[in-house]
Amino acid sequence: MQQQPEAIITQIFPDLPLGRWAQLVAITVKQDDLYTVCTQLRQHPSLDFDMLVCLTAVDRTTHLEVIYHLRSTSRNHDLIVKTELNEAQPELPSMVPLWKSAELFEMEIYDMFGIVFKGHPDLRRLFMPEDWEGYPLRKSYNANEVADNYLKSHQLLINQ
Amino acid sequence: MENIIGSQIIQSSDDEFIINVGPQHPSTHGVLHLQLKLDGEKIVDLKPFLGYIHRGIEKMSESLNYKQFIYLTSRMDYLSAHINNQACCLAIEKAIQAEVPERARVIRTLMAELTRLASHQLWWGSTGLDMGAVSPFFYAFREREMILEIFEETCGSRLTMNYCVPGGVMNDIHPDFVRKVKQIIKQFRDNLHEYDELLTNNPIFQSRTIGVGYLSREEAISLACTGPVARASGISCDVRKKEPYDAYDRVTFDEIITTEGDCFARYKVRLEEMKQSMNIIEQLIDNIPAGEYRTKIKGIIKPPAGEYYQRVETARGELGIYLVSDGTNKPYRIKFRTPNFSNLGALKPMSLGGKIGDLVAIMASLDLIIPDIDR
Repeated sequence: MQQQPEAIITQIFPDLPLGRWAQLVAITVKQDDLYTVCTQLRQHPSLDFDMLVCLTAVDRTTHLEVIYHLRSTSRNHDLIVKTELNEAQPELPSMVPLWKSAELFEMEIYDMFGIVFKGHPDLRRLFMPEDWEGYPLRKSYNANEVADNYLKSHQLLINQ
Repeated sequence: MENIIGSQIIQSSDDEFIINVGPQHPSTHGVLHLQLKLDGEKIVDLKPFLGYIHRGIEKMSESLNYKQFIYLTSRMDYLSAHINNQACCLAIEKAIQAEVPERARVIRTLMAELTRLASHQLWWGSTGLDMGAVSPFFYAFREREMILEIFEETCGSRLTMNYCVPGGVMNDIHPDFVRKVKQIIKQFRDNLHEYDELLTNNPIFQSRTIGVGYLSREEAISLACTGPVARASGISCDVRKKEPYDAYDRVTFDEIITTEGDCFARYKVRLEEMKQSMNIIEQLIDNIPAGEYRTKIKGIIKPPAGEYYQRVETARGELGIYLVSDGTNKPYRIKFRTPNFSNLGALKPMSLGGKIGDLVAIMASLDLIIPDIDR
């Protein structure tokens, strides 16, 4: 069964608020401290978060929330690291030096939310075409409008 | 020298040249586009280009309600369609705290294992096809066809079954279900020696897979590989064991782990997993509890605001559902952590330094489903 890493985390990071995200232990980290906190989580022998299971983001309309799901295969525990970002110019450090799986995950997040990961080896649009405008998974992106405009500009609409 | 291929530019020296594999290549089993940098026959660099089958399932889910979006996930990993649906239903049931009847739990688990069997059989057939052996495909489809017929009888369709609903399953099993499942299990066990004779002990197949496409344990962890790919590199990661869901807590089975990490190890893991799936089915098929197959759930599902997470083991690895609800009848945000997306990352370390001919063997052993990567 899953162990809980709460005790060790409160010991190492006494200032960080400990919470829950979908029944998993979660910490909220400031944008600037993210890389140092993640490095400690990766390297601390009794935490040993060696796998980045998932990286995702949620557009809360006022800000962007980026969620790192970490797992330790040796200690068998999970942790959610959450950070909040300004929507206007979202930038985060790349986690590729710590976890290789971050490479594809960060490309997807860049493609869908427009978050720039500094230090990423090959940041490009993964799914959408290179010249696509807008970031589809943001709440301000209206998919119906985009589809209508596309059909209109290519004269494919039946009831003009 | 500059080579312009598609919209991307890759720098290369005079000795190296660049070729494109896909998006329409038989060995990629879908529209995966790889750009290879070659030095003679040796692969020096590899870059995947995706998006040829990107449908935006995550965005579409935000405009559908909780009972509708489940069935979009059948189109992600279409060979594990039922398991994808099951994951969504489990996440929703967790959110609204619905009790699922025992009968539904067992039926779901049986269907999930049959799906896994059918998926691995297709993989086994196409692996042979990729290595130039045509006959395994027909042997694999002989058994797979029978499983699909069972699905058709009970659910009405063969591949994208749409059988799971929040609170149970769509309808009760067909009266012939138990008899036919027992029949297919018996036939498959009787025929298993043919699988070994055709591929496992075939010297040509062995020389193309043993020692090819090595993935170390550390690398597999760092790349977040799951499923048979990770288990062949010695990582214990079976969600059915770690966090049992539905009826997996009442069955005994082995988690197959080997440490060789090459293509043949991944082949053996999947072959053994088929036997374990049959074990699970045999334990459950005679003990399907009587009673309701579905609890009544309100027509409009409105989970309380918050986040929910559920993971399941599909035929290819760990599928995670991250559900963010704002209290309305539509999901605010839904993220599918699909197994093939992470496993794709392993393609580069496996094939670098190898011959271009080995790439086909490596892709066959990774068992990638492209719609699951693109979503």
